[in-house]
Amino acid sequence: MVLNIVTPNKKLLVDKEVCEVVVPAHRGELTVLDGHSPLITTLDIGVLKYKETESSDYQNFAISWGYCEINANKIEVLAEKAESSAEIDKARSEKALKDSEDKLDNFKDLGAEDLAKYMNKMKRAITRLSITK
Amino acid sequence: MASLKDIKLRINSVKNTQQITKAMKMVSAAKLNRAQDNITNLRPYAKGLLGVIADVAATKRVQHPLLSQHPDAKNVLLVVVTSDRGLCGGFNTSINKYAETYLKENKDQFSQLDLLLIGKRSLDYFNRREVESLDSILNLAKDISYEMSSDIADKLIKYFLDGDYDEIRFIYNEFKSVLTQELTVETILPIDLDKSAFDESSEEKFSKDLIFEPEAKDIIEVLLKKHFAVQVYRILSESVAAEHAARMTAMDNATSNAKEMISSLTLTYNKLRQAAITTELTEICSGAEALKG
Repeated sequence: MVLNIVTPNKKLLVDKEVCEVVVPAHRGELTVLDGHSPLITTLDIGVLKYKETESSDYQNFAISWGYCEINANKIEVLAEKAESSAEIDKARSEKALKDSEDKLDNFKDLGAEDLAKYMNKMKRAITRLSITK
Repeated sequence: MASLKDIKLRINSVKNTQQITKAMKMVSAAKLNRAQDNITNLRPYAKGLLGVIADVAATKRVQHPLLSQHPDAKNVLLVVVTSDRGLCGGFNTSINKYAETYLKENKDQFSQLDLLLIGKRSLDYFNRREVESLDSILNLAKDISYEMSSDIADKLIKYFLDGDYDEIRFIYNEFKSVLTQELTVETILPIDLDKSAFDESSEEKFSKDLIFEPEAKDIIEVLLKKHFAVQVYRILSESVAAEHAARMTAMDNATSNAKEMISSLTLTYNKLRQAAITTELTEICSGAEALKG
């Protein structure tokens, strides 16, 4: 099956031949193998990984919101942001994590909107850090 | 009559200006390239998103407030997109003038017609004319990012869903080519899917037995919001590309004008110099003649 990943800024993967894809779907991780039934799901902040062949290692991408359409052995992923482990700025993610944690320490002062904003920020930072060495 | 020294000074100052305009032209050309790349890179994403919205809408026939048309809209928000910087020919003036006349002509037709200004140029223009605006968004000068546009989009959606406005229209310069920008008025909220999405959805997609996760009506909500953000991003990118194109053309004209000016000034300078030499020679000659005599 083939995998496409598209973001507003570029086409990340075009018709990449893969054997297994794990996406951070709406209700938790979703593993897609050959012959999956047609499905549309939104993607949450999380890690998307794929394997080219049975024996190869997982390739990781940090994803913030997106959706995924599976149809006839073709997986279309549209993500707002998708970064490979090599692209991630570790220092920046660490700083973002610390910032959001500091803000969330005083969560009582935050409005609902800000709370969601910093929760998401923290989630993104954790995701990014989880796939960097 | 200007002295030789004055003309020399003029020539030098024009040369300096020419250097600046030349540099600005180059910078705009580079920025234009990037802006155009932005637009091209966005297309697959926008197309994919629209395709899936059409899929979902076709299989489930969903309704959504963002899609509901208001035939006689009473409260309209006009979003005027200009740049933060000048020196780009008629780019901003045409937009501002158009928005002003639009405002005047349509004021009676709607019970509310407000302005949201993007770019410093429109803010300055309407402030000078003491026209109130709802809000303004500045500092587009740096590269516009998708994140920024999606913030703007969220704001607009909030106005719309809260019922403050039934229609949101954009006035912006659409990038046609390096030489032409087209002033465009586009209604972007409510989202009109009939035009864009459904002609692409083919028959076979109707029967597709899709699993939706979460429910189709939740998916469509998010998708529509994202689609809207993409539209805003597209419009801003178009406007930025058009701005750089306009600046490039304006600076190109300025550079060639400067060149013309330098050559005409140089001509005057040389004529004057020649005249001075001739006068001096005549004086020396006639002096010598007088001594001989």
